[in-house]
Amino acid sequence: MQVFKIIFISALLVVLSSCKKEIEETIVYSNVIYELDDVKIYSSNAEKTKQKSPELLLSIMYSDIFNQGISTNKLLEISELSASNGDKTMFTEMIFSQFLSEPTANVPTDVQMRADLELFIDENYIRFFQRKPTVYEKIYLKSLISGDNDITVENVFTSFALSNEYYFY
Amino acid sequence: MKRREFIKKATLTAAGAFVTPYILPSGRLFAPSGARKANHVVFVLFGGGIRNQESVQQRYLLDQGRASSGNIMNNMLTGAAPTSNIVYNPWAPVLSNSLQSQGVLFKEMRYTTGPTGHYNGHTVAMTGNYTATGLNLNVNPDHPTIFEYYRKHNSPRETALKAWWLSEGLGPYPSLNYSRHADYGAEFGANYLCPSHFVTGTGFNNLNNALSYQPDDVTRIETMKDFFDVNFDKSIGDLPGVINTRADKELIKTMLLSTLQNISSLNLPLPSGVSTNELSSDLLNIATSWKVLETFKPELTVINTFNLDVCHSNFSGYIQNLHKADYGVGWLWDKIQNDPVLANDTVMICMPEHGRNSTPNSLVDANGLNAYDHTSDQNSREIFSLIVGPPGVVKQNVSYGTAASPVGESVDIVPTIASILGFDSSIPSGLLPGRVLTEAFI
Repeated sequence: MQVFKIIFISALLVVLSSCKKEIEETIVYSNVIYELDDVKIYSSNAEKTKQKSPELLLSIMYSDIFNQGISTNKLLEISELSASNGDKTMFTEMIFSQFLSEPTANVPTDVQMRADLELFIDENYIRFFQRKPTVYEKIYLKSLISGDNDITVENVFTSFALSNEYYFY
Repeated sequence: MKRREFIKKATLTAAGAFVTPYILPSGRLFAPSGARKANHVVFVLFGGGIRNQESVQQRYLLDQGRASSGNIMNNMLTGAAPTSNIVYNPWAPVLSNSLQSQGVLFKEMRYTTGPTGHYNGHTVAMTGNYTATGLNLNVNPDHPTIFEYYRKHNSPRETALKAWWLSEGLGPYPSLNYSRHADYGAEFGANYLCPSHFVTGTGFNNLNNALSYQPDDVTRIETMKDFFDVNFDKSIGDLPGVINTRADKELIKTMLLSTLQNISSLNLPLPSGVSTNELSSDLLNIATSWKVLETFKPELTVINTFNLDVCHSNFSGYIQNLHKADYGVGWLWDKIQNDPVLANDTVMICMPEHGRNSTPNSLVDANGLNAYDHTSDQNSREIFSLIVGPPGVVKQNVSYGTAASPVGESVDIVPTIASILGFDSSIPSGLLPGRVLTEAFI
């Protein structure tokens, strides 16, 4: 599934490179992703050494939330909106909050999250970081969420999406 | 209390009273270290390539072989409008007194060296250095921008919330909010926005439910993010673009999203009764710039207009867009003068990035008028500049320069802005070849 996602996104980016002059440089950088091995999940985050381009980040973010690849038009639109803003991390926050609000977003409810916190943490480390959490990470995050009833799924997902690790592959 | 102790405490208290900071009317905590002329500067890159003939010389269609002259920039310049051969839709001026009468007009300035291309024209104006690059390269400029000089050398240092660059279009223009200079860069860059690609139906469709975070949510998100980051040994510091503080991010998001989600509340620079179909991307840029100015009271704002570049093939469209952009600038100044913080504390500078050729190309528009390119001939190096501001700061109704004796160059705007905001003496020597246009000031 991860390999399919990367191939699909890379193909989209190649299409985009022919019609969007202003993102040309980034597209070339993104092509590096073709050379990734067929690794389904990372064994540790130390294996992530390359930073995602803004377009690749948006594409992966979309597929992480909707469980499907982003359409060419959608990626063009979002890339243009991103280019229109000087603070890319701020735009990422805005578009991510929009993704989470969409009816088709694959977002569990808070009740579902709290019903099995360990499963929720496992699943979403794989969803966002393509790796399993360490024992320490699982214990810490479980303690944090269970200790604060006001932490929402949206809070957790946003933290994943804004973390440094999410920007690397 | 012993006498010596009493005297010591009294002395410290008295000294404290003198050094205790206080909030100035502009919202600043401290007065800046350098002597400021004003606390806000708006630089309008009145761009797209404007010939002095149709602007300050008010020749209208004389160079087209038609006996009709007059002023089509009735907000910025003093002079009667054309009365015959009207190829544009005239709008009544928004200002009762022209900007020329409220400041200093440099009628003949020069863009001395380098290709007269739009991007490098913008680069020269915003970095204060001529460049030989003629291509629209989508890379940050080599020389520091005015934003970086401001954010690095102004005292006290301000966040990017106080420095904005709003461009009419995308292309290479987003790259002008900071340079690649080793001593400056994104850390000192400005916020950037392109309203014609953001304040749109596409923007609304893709962000209509986006949210700013509430303070409690910010704390929770930051706590978890910090945990994730502690367990990862790389950072996203190399991401392109300026990065705002957390507090500023939320303020900017709130402004952007409220603008998008309540688009009808955006003030538009259109005369009463004129359809919104007449709203050009220049005017949208000016409208959004006002939203930024009104909301954040930035100390340094640079915006551009660009639509009149249709002059490559459509001279009538050039005239129309020049007239509209003039209206937008007048409208913006009127808004500034009705704002309790910005009024009488703002200097506005208008300057085209370059001119256009003296001889037309081979294209003729629907009205039979010849089109003009800008290919670095002498005419395309001839520009003007208008500096307006409070009467106690900027000279009123004065002009300098003739064709035989031009005054000022494109590269002079950056040092002039630095002087207005009081940090010019802090900029290391050798970085800026231009000079402060001291003629403009009292």
